[in-house]
Amino acid sequence: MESDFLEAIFYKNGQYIDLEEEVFSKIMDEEVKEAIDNLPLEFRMPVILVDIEGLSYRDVKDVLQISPGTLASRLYRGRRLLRDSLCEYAREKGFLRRGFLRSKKW
Amino acid sequence: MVKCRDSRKKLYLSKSAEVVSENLAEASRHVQECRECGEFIRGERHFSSLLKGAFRKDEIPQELKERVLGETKEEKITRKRIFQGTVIAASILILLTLSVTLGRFIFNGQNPAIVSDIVDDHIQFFQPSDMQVQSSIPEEIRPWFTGKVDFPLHIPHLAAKLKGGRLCFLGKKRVALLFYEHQGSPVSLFVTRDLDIQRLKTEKKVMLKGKGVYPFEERGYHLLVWEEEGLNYILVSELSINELQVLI
Repeated sequence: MESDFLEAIFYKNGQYIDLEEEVFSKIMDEEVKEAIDNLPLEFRMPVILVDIEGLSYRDVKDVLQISPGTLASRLYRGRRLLRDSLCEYAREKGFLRRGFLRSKKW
Repeated sequence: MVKCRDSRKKLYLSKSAEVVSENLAEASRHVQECRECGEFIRGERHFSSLLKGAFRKDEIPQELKERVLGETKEEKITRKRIFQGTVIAASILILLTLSVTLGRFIFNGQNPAIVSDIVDDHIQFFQPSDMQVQSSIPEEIRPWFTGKVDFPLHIPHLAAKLKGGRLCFLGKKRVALLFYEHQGSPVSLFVTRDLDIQRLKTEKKVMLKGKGVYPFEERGYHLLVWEEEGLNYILVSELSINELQVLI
């Protein structure tokens, strides 16, 4: 079955962790830019146009000439790749220790 | 599990989680009841707002953005017109061949596409994170639009609380989008100069304070369109037409 939109959510002691807030508070803008630059183009464009530029979904799907469903999938995957990349960077820098996060599987 | 995935996917592109179709209503009900799905949607929106916040300093040049959007939309509109022309011609031929007598063609009940676009933008933009300028003071909002729209922005006094604004596009036109709130309901006011308002003039014109105002209904949302001192105004909300008229 397609795994999109079913990624496990991170928990600590059964509580939701605001992972992004922790990461973003410590990572510099340059690292975020580099992580975005390293995304494959098909995932990079939706992330840049929607999340960075704040264009409407209608405009983005028109610009990229893709369906709303495809836009949702690419945006989801792009954000996942970006989040993974930022987490890895944070772990390398010691902002997050390995094994700090555990995931819950459905 | 399938319900979780389907619900998340349906709500994924709906920033404000407003319900605009039965499918979305079902997905929204599921997300309200499912803790994991609720956290998923909130987490996605939060991540998006953090990303946006990290890049406020380096915006893509406005001209480039406008050109890319304009060119793409122009191509799409041209293709759409060719397709529509072919379909219309074929339909007329079929109707003539079958000698079907139609009392009249009923196209009056269909809103122009721009009305649907306006409602889409109203639904998408109203979160505080979507506002590019936040203030309840017109004098603080107006300067932000200087150079971003190609007309001197006049912010009309409405009987609603001004919240902020942002730039958006309708077709190739840059539009000032102002956010208000009235009795807990979000109200959007689109202001532009070069909108082809002739397309929006209907027989339902009403006169309000000396202005000719045209009401529309689209997917449960209501719109009022009017012209004033060379600018075009489109007011949108889930409020009723009567409630909107009181705001002007």
